Amino acid sequence: MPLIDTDVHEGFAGIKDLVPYIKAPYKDWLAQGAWRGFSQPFAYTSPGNGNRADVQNEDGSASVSDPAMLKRDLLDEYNVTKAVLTGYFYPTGLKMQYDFASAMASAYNDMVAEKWLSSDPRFAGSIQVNARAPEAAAREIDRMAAHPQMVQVMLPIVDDIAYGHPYYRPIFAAAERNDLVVAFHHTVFAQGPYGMGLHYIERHSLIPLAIQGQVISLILNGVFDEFEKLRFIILEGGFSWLPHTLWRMDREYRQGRVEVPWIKKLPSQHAHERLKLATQPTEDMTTDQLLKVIDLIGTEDLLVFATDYPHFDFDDPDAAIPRSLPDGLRQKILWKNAADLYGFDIPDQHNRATAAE
Amino acid sequence: MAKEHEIAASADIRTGEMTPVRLGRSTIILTRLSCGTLRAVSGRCPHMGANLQFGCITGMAQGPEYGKIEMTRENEVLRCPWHGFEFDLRTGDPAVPAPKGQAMKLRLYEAKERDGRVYVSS
Repeated sequence: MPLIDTDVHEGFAGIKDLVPYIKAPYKDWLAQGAWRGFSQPFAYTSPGNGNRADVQNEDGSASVSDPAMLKRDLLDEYNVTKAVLTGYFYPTGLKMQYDFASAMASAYNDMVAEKWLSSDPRFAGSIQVNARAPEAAAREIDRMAAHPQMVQVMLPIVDDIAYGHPYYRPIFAAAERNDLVVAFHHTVFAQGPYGMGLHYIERHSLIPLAIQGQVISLILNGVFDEFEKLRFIILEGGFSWLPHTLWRMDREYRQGRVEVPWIKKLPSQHAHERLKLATQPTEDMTTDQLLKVIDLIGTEDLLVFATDYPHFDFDDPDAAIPRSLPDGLRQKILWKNAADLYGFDIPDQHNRATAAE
Repeated sequence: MAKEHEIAASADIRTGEMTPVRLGRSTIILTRLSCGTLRAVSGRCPHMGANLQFGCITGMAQGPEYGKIEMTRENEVLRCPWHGFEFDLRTGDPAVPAPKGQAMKLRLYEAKERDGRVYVSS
């Protein structure tokens, strides 16, 4: 069976890896160590410090910067048909020096294109932007969309102005005119409703709440209506919360539509038609529980598989998406829904084999 | 066979206003659309049974673009006093489709005017 992994984190060994790609004057800034990069405001508690502890360079250091290692550990190990690279370096996190952040996004994209995308046709790419400078982000999207392996725009979950705000519209317009998906992924700076809490376990449990807020903002501020062709994917936020969020928004829409009449469809209809959620991290549900959640979501076409390699909460496809699921549903989650989202031309091996019998 | 009941004076039923009248143990709301057409609807909301006489008659809000609200079809929408659900007074349909498997249509009664009096069939 084909397998599409929608959340694979490539990276670099250090911020100075961007020096060859970034424009002046920021080339000197990075080369001279003027900026040290992002750091998480907490300590990781997993054995691999946020990564799978077995993802190591030969000297034992953690690695997210080696395409050959990733191909060996993930693509070949799991026979992955397509892996969507999503990064974890999100310049939007810099809440000042916008031009510097935009330049780093451009440099990172060029690094990914040269070092990663060119190394294997199974890789698909995400265009990184500085969302705080939407017009510059739109220009970057237009620039990078020409790369045939770039399939989406990556927007990191922010902790201040949510993505439904009109401020970000140029980004969505650029994604739509370039026929790209828009992806959302949490960050080291994503906040829950009361911040991050006091413990890493608390912060990690709050991530779905941060993501729900973005879904609510996008739909109830009319982004789905204004950009009728755009499709959206939420990464690393899980999915079992979606029935509640859709029911709640539908109810609110029935009673409060008069305030937002530019929203033309039930929020659940918008989500069913153009939203995907990556399954990772699955929550160790039984097959029966998983089937119930999918039934409550209301469509089998919404979930897509992701491993989140190389992060510690990695999902193994066979363990996370049980073999006891109906075959048709399992195929949708493991590859068909993502192939439809990204327009990947992947032969249906199962049907082909059946037809040949 | 439907039975006709004389329930109000025509002159008392005005556009944009609700006139509740008793019909047996039920309450019926009478109003007029902007064109003058008489409407008689159930006095209970099909959602949770709120007494609709405390709701309001309004128009249909449309949003041609983000941030812009235009009111259309003035006096053709009844909003429930509890949750604000909107019902189309021409059809009884909710403005937003009902949840799957739930009935959400406002009952319309056949209403006629004759010799200055309003008659409703039930």
